[in-house]
Amino acid sequence: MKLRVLEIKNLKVYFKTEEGIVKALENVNLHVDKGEILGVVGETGCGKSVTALTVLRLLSNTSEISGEILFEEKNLLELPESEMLKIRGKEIAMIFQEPMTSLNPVFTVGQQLTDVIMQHTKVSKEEALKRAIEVLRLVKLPDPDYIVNKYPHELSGGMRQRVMIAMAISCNPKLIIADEPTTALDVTIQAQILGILKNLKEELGISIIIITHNLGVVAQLCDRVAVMYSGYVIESGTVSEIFQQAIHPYTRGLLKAIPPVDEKVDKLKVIPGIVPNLISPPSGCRFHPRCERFIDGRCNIYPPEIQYLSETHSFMCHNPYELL
Amino acid sequence: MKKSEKVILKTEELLKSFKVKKNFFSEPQWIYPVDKVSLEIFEGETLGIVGESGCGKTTLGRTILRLLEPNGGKIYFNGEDITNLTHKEMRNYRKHMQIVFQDPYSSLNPRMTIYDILKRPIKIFKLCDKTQEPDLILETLRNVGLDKQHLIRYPHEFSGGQRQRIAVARAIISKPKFIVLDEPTSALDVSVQAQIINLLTELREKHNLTYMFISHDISVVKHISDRIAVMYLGNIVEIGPTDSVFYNRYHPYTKILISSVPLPDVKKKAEFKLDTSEVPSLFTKFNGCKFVDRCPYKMDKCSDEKPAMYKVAQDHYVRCFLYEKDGKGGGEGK
Repeated sequence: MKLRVLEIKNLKVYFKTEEGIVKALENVNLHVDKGEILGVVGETGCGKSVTALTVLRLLSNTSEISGEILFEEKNLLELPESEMLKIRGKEIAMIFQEPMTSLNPVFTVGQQLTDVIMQHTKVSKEEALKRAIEVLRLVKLPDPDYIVNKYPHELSGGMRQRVMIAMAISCNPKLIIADEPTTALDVTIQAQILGILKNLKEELGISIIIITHNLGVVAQLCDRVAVMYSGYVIESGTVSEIFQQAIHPYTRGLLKAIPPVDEKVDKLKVIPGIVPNLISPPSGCRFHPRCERFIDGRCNIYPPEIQYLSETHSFMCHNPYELL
Repeated sequence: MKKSEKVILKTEELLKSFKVKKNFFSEPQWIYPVDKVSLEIFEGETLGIVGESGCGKTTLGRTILRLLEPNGGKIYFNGEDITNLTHKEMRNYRKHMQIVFQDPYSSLNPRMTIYDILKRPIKIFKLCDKTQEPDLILETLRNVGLDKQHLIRYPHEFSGGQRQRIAVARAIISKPKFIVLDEPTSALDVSVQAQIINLLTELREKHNLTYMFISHDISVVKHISDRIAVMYLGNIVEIGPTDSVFYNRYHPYTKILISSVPLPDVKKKAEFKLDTSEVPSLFTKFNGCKFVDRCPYKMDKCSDEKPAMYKVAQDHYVRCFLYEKDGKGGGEGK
């Protein structure tokens, strides 16, 4: 029986705005086991970033949240802020998309790292600095004792992202949530960063949730995948199940929309239409207006329930494809 | 394969430089994002330009269209030298040389309706008289998959993909021969990207357009391009037919670049190499090959001499001394 590090159950997140209530997450269910990398995939408006922020309770107070987020048996949504402070950065760490805006520009790398380390562990400044240099070395930054004295703007995008990862692992977290960690980086740097993340999982046993829209990254890095669409996890499974045995029309559409690398096609298969408005989403299944498997009277009235194809493969659909 | 022998666009040792300060206290230095680039683009083909940050691909696209003024070299459009034409003289050419930008959110004027945005080129290029204007606008809009009801709306009322369609409409309304597409799908979701790519392919066939498709997304470039040029720090280091470049990867940089792309294929798992080499900044001075510090195949002469382009296969050239014996210097893309 695998150890579940994080389990999200029936998560619902609505935001009150001037234009109306934004129904960002409707019924999100996903989990991460110890030592595994879960990819959360989806397009604009699917709710993947909101999910990550909700886990760490980083949402504003215009949000209405219900459901459960279980981390080591504790429901994070019920913890007082004082308890959450001990979890953020120490038990669960986050890496954001834009390393320039998530590192403080007026402090050196060393100062920011030691700040985090001393916040969460009882060590002296010297010991914290030693640890800082150690984690910079772990993320393969050359000359870590030189880098500690540098400011973020003196480093390249790839180096900054490595500093972010170093910061995330500095207090030995059980779980890292990486929100589009390589989207802003060149492809060769991306390959290096993904290698570091894979290493963290293999050598340190850290569980990772990687949020991305890049299916190539998911195929190469992840053990399991959760595909999100407009506030739901519409399909989830091992990376083989999702890439080779996807049954949800949206997942299939997404996979076919990527230009294939090893064959020549004239036209890419498209999913017609655009992502739905979250203030007034479509009735029933939110994907129904774009779905080629749409059943009138069912898909536009009843939201789908979670069903299981196997122990690992789940989906939410009234009319999925047959398994190949 | 080349669609035709007619050269629509040609550059000869095109140079674009900027004088910049590395930081507040330093002296300004010259950087050369386009460092004597020579290329030819044939009618009806799509030339893909790939490369990472600082390689100069965007600067190249803009300099070719004279949106940035070249600092050296020549640009020929349809055989005519347009390098030093005045802006007034360029007007006649701009009808035939258009651009689609990366960011659909900042490339459309937020205070103009779609009708106004498409009316602009008609007015500037005198494409038709006032009575024919609405028909031309509607026809162009329909060509990109939008319709009548969209004409009175403003850009902010559309999604990213729709805005990009409007940007494409604006580019094709003057019936250009050549379009520079600068990362046209990078800001879009995967499924929307597919829609725009299909649209671009369709329009290319329908109107016999020639594209220069700039992107960092190698799988997209591979799908849409007939030939690919790989850029590194201001130079084209490899250029050839798409499949030949993609599968042969002659230049050491091309090898690293293409093998870094994560494949959405679970059966082909990549080994992530934990090396730490990065692209040097444009401020770095090189006496010889610019790739020398990162190159696993470097020889002594690489630090001291600049390699020329050497032919490695049909229409395929590589800027690397490894291929000097096989090919002769010179040929397309010097």
